[in-house]
Amino acid sequence: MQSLTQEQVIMIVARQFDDPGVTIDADSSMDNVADWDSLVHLGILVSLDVELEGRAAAVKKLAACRSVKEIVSCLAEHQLLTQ
Amino acid sequence: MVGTSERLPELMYNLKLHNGKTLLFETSEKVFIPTGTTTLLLDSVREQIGSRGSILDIGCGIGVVGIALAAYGLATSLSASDISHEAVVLTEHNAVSNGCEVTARHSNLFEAWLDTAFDYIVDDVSGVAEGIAAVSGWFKNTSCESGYDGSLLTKNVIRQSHKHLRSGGRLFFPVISLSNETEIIAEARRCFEKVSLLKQKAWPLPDDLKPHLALLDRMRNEGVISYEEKFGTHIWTTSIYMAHN
Ligand SMILES: C[S@@+](CC[C@H](N)C(=O)[O-])C[C@H]1O[C@@H](n2cnc3c(N)ncnc32)[C@H](O)[C@@H]1O
Repeated sequence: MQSLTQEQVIMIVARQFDDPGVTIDADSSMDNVADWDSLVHLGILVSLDVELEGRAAAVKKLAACRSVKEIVSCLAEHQLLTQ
Repeated sequence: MVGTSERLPELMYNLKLHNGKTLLFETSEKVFIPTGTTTLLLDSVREQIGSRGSILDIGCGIGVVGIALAAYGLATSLSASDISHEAVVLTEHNAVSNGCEVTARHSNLFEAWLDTAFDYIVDDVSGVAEGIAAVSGWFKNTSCESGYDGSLLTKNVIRQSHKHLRSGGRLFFPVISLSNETEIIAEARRCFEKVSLLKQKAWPLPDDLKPHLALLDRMRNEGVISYEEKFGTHIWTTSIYMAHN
């Protein structure tokens, strides 16, 4: 995939949580989702990279993003987001 | 057989099930401590088992996967085995304490199940390249005679499984990228008509392995294992496969 929509980013993030009780939306972050730990975070990064066919790994800032909003804007900055 | 009194009761592992129940498992320093691969395997099998059936948990450790599948109501009968006597004793104990029945046997692979067939075989015998297992901390008191490339035991299970699967039966197995995934999958495709990837999860390299990057690098260059450098860390994976005819 060349780029992702915000909805696809949310789905990718949500997929990382095995607990169906966890809901992810545009405002979710490591601060308000208790289960969003470093392991889940790595899973998110790897999944984004798979979906974006290896382009996410080249975005250095992505690893430091702590929320859906930050991920979305970081992808947008690198032309990896479809508005 | 190691007696109950020899167990170290202070180590516990708890597992939250998707139905809200929590299972408590007694473990010890003499056995394999469940990891993320344990729960990934469990979740994959739970999602795939459409109808209840007889289950064999081979390489059961303290019995987490089989006992949890039984707790989900997916087992008409549960059998479990491991090459570690301590693991078998703990599996029996954990089954009782979690209110489920198990036939647990000490066994090198299928040796104790010669004439028995199951609907589902859930394999989790040690499958990390031996040299890496030795320095990893995962197998401190656990047998991991999986060969140089880590594929030996898993390939043996795959090869022997068809004799122990009922018609329509399924084999589930994890493949760690710190073993020869290509070889294992090739073996699965030789033995089964259908082999599918159910789930995959990425992990950062554990601290124990960081001083051994030269060994890992060499094995990666030999094409024996795989991992990637991404997002400032070294990433390896567990993949869960299902095989059937
Ligand atoms: C990676 S651990 C998994 C244990 C358990 N399924 C879990 O997730 O906690 C691998 C297990 O395979 C067992 N094992 C190693 N070699 C074996 C063999 N030849 N036959 C049966 N079990 C074996 C080990 O004793 C160990 O308990």
